[in-house]
Amino acid sequence: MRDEKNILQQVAWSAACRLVTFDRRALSEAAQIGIDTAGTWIRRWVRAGTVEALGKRDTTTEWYRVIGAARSLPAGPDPVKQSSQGNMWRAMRAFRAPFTAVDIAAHSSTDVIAVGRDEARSFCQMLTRSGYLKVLRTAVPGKREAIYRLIRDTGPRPPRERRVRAIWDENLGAFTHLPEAGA
Amino acid sequence: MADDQRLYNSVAPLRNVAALTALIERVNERAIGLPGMACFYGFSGFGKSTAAIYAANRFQAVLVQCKSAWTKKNLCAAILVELGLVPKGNTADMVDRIAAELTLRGVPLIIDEADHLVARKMVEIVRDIYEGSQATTILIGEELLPQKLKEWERVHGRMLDWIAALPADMGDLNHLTGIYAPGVELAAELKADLLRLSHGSTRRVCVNLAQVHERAQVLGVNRLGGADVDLRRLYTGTAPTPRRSEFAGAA
Repeated sequence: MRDEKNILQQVAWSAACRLVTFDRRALSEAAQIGIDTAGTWIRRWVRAGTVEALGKRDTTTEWYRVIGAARSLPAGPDPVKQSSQGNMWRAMRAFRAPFTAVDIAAHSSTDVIAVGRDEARSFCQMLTRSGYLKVLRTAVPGKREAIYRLIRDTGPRPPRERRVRAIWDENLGAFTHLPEAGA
Repeated sequence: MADDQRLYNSVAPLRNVAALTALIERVNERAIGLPGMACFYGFSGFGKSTAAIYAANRFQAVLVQCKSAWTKKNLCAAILVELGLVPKGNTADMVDRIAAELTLRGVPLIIDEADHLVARKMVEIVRDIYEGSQATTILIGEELLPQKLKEWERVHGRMLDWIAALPADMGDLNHLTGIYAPGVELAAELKADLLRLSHGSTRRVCVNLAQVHERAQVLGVNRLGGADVDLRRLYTGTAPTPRRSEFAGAA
């Protein structure tokens, strides 16, 4: 819920920056939010010094203006940056047919990210080890590529390999403590 | 890695990929007041989905592939999942959340297999999302999609452009040879045969080039002519011709 509120507030702020001068009704219409919500956020922005009150300007409502220097401030998070693993994972999820590492590399390399075949192969191998991909045809090194199919699609964010700190007991030959999954 | 090397290993230069990329750039940079939806259509196998995957990576777009069984709620839930949000609430709530998130992120929405939107009468939901977000919205579908969308006048009128996917040509084949059969030189007549037997399908060109590459590895050569490859083994996608009854085991 808190995240949703933040997102809507950022949408409202973007609308305010587009309008530059606005009253509660104009902001409510531009951001598609309730008029009372618009009023609450305007008061917060005025307190924060990013918006200044202009008075009633021959109307019945108070008008406001986004202060020039603030216009580029809290407009929202940075646009999502491309990553090679993100691009490869997106390509795998979108491929309906089985694919090879060459397919993945070719569809994931863009004008800002270069994904090599070796990187795609090792990403496929990592996902196979962790149960996300199934090998439909094994590779013959130097002759043919392995063919994979995605069997576990958990969402848009790519699984990542992480190093974890654990406690190894030499006496038992076992890990006696592993961090909780997702911790 | 140098830019030209990067493009050499990418599907970006393929003509349908370049067409979709240019279309999204054009819609992204449209003048204020112009509509922000567009349609990319063409026959199956021409590489529309390949283009969509590249474009989704290039623009970090939200890509959803419609399924025939989807309802409006399934569509909204799929878009929310792609946005990394929890799909909850009724359809109207989800449309508002999608619109707010797309506005915030400023990324395009690409809907593949959009024919199902028409078949299940879900096109208006996409228009609602577009109206709420003003985000670039690309519908990708089969050859008849523009005709089908004519029924939905309010959607049809919001299309900035309609771009038709084209069959793979020799330029595409030459580029894909570098990706799927690297280090193997193909004779001109073999390339012509590959293109002819692939019937303009980018997918078949890729499969056949991989097969030819494997053949070159098996033979241990780096140049292949027409006689080195059994063309009957190539993937043409055509249905087999009916057998005569005595071969089919019939009495």
